[in-house]
Amino acid sequence: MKIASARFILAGLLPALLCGCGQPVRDEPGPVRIGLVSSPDGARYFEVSGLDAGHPGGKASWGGTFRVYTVFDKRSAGEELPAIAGSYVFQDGVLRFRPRFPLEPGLAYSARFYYSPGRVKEARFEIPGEDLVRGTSVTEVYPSADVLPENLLKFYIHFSSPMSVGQAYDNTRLLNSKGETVRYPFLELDEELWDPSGRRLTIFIDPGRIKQGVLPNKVVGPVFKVGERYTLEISDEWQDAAGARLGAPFRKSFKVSAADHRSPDPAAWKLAAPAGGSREPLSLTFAAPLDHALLHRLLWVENEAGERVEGEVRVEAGERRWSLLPDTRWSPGRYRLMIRSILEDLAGNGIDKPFEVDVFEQVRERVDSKTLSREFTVSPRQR
Amino acid sequence: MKVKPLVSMALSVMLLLGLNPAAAADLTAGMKTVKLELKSAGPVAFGPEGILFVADPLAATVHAVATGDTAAAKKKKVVSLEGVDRKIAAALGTSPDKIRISDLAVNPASGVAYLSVARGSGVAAPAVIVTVRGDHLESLDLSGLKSASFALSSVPDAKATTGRGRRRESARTQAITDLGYVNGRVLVAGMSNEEFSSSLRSIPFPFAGSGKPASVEIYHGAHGRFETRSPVRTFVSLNVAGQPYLVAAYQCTPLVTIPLSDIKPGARLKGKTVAELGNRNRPLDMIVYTKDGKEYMLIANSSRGIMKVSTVDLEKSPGITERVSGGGRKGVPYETIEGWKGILQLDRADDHNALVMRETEGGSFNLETLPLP
Repeated sequence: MKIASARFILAGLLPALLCGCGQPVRDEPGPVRIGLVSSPDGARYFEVSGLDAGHPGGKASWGGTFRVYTVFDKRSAGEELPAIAGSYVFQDGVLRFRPRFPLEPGLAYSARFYYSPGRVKEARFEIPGEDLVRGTSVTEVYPSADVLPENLLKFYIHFSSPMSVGQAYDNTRLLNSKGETVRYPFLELDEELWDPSGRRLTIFIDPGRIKQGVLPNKVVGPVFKVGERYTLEISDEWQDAAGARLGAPFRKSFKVSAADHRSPDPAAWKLAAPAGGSREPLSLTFAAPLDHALLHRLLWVENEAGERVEGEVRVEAGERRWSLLPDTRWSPGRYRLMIRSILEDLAGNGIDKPFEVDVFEQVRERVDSKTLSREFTVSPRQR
Repeated sequence: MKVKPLVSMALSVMLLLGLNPAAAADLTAGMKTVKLELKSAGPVAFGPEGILFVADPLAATVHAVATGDTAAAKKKKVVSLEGVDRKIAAALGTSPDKIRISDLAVNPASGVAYLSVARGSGVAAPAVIVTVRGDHLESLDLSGLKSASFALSSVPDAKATTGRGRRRESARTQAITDLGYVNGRVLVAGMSNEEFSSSLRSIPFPFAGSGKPASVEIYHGAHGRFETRSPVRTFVSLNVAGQPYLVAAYQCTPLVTIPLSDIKPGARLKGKTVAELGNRNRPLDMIVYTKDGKEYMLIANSSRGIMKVSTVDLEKSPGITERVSGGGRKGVPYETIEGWKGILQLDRADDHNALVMRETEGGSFNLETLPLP
């Protein structure tokens, strides 16, 4: 066990600065020693030794005798804030306090032992700050194509490391071709839409500005204008989960094409079946790009027995091509490409329904969310 | 979700029918003392018997925690705490920029406020429930409490993501935008980080059933079209013409009523848009209360302040069936409550007061108890 260096403060010398509670704190002489100790598992805890044998060990609540405070302002006592949460163990005359959460690099902690009300022994511990390395970067932004429809619904921003939550809309801007910021382009959600790893963020374009004939669209206009160029700009002020800023800003520039109001049509996809006995990819080519994330999730292949063909899915060519590289060789036979009908294109048009259903003009027949399939045959390899 | 009048109403009905609420109300009986660890903590809401419902979006789970905080305090302490973010950070041993407060709920029995908090910056930051009694703040130790958990199954791609190997670990998450306990059911509103969808789940409590979401199709006044997939931001329950209804505020602010009885697994519902609260505005939170014998709803908004709506007007509303044009406000009338600025969170503290979390000009947060307007 290693005892960290403790900076004992003679609180009596600095009563005005140290006291946030209205009573002078005095670093009382006494047998008690306070240390910060690392256990073999790396957890740190505060230890009070020198308690005399007669000390009432096994006290129901040690919170009245020994408390640790977070110190934000080095001149303050810290005591005006709540003591930090943790658990106490008293054993062999030594009291140990283990904070509920790891101590924070760069912060100071005030550990206080109360001999009696007004008789306090204080020790302060500064946890050295960590050098933050600015190594996290934006790795991809989807859609990856450089021409996107006017009614584009969302961006996926991929990062190389987990990111901080709560900074997305401050650090993401959309600029027009003159370099002016487009106002309120995104649906700003309190719950930022991260994947479980914290490395992919989904940003929706405000649907009120996509829909035709709606107020925001009429008043402020759509986010995008056909034929214009735009840049999605990600600021390097954005911090990763460790608190380090991004290594560099990121820009994705693209041109806007006409709005797309059509649902993707699986029957029109070009399917290139692999040869039996090979490990060639099965590949699909779409007429227009589809949603990157959904392509990974909502398309798969099953054999005649209904077993899924395991393999690696690749989405390429600006999300116009999907391919499956099987883990094992294709056995000749019949297969089914399985497609969930909620698969969307870049404008949120699902296979089951387009993004906009206008009841004033037409009521489309609805297809409930379901799985569609398309059959294909893997033929024995021609010799 | 922030309303419990239906709970007391349900109890009254049971008494009228000669049922013994004590026998029927032992909702914690099936719960177990497990070491409950939250992966994340989103919206929170109270049910009866001191049961706190906690949404855990990262685990795609709703937890019910028997807080044991059931003894009705003779004199409830008024919750008031300046710099609550700073104080929570101190209690968790970190700095205020490293905590995020997701939601708050007041236990109607004790008047104690419960806040869901993330301690850390990233998605995987540990989640904590913090209690505030008067001005005394404490972090809640869940390990000694009885709880029950319900996994929100039926993600739309269950078949597609079930399988072997690392490659198919789904990147899909279901953000939970609100939850609430209404008449023996836990209602959960959510949206996906992939497909643009809205789901509303109705789960019987004590937990049972599939939790299959009901997809809610609403008439969206601002858009002048059917909109099936807009996400629900926040909701409350109340009685409209004697029938229990859910009043849901959507991300782009239409206010919609949906009969509670319609929310069934797999159902496709059509709500009635009763108000259009204006664009470039996000509803944040809602509560329902009674004052001078009349029932009202308060809606906290991101840019249009606090709105007060008479629920009688909701009953009378014929619904919006045409495109809203002009100022972007249509449907039931509302009053904007001056002086309630910077409100981020809202719950009913008791019959006469609301508990709010307010952002100060300096950027810190205060908990304040305010008389209901």
